[in-house]
Amino acid sequence: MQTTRLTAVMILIMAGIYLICRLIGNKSKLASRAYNRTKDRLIRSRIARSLEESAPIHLDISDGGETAMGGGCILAAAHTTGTVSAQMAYADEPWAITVPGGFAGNLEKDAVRMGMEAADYSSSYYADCASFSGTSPFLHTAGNAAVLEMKPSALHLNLGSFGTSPALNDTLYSKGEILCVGGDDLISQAVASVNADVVYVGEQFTEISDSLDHEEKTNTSLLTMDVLRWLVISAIFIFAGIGLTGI
Amino acid sequence: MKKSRTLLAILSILTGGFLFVSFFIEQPIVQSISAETFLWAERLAAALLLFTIADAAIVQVRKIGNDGGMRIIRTIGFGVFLAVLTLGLIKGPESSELNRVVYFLQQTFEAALAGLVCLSLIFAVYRLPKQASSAMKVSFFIGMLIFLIIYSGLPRMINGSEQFTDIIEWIQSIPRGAIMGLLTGVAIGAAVIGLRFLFSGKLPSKEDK
Repeated sequence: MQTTRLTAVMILIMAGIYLICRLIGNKSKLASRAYNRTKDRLIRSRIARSLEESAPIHLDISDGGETAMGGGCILAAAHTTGTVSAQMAYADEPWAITVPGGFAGNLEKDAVRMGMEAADYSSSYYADCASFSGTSPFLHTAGNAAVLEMKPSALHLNLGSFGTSPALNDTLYSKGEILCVGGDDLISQAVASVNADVVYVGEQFTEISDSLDHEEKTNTSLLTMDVLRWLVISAIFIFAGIGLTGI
Repeated sequence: MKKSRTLLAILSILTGGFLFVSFFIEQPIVQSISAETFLWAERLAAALLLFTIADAAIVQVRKIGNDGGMRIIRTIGFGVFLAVLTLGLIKGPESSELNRVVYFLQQTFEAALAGLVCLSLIFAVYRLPKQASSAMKVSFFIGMLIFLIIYSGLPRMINGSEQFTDIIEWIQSIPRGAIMGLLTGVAIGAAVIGLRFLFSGKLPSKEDK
């Protein structure tokens, strides 16, 4: 089978699983694994604290220096921005978003607007809500110093491809601040394992937007992801078994 | 306003649908239109980046007058932007001298920041066993120690049995498996995000309403 045909078949299978989850999910009240993990609760509590104590939240998006069209993680980051924006629409303290610029920056601004519209608070939207802080991950992280005014934040949510630059966050952020890192970049996940408080590994990055929602819902996307995860795990075990037994 | 948004949404859906289907059609004309569309999208993104940089410079100037310790950083930042812009206007954007200066500055700063990363990581490794750590951080630290010893060449110096060498090779293969697992996970996540856009195109909280 040609690669393109195989890809098309896989996409159709995924779409089929998605539709089944959408039809069955709501009726059966199935809940996804993501939402009640300790790290999800910690991040949600920080957002609540930010609203109560007027401590700002900083959302940092980096596309790994892909200055033209943006990296693959930008869509997932935009979803998370929309969810956080819907919750922070009523906040007294404006929250900060730092972006790599270009396509990604504009997508983030649109996500902020959509989030505020979802919260019926679109009048609070301001066009310069997302600040450009540098193109490459290094310059982007260092550029945050000039954007953030160095006010202590309740939460720093770093989403995207950062390379080794999360190690620099130790020099930027003060002690009481919580740093959460998630993305499709393996190096930044490894570095963040050392200095971040919360790390979303692998596909968990795409779950952040849902796990930050203020109430738990039967979510089609997350159910689909759970089903796909189990299918991949089963396939690994089946093929490993075949390999070991020599059938 | 709503009408123009609907029109833009229809245009986006049509373009997206065409680009998606073009991956599976090997007709030269379809491939050529697809490549041209990507090229124009990249040009548009580059133009957006230009606007973003100009916007960032204006914001920095506006904030220079604000109280706070960031005044010097903002002034330096805007000064550098202005210097590069002036040089670019005088010499032209294709000037090799200008590009050499800009890339030299960028590389110097990135090298300095990379040095800082090394220092931060060394300090983090020292700090990690001391602080109250999660299971993940402890596993990371133990894993790092094990792989430092294995990749240091120490096991090769020990003339162990064939079984010992097999075990070392097996341990060395574990990170490759973990990387493949993580990448598979990322691919699943990306595919599901794509499906969500295809079927709902809204915020996650609105997906099942």
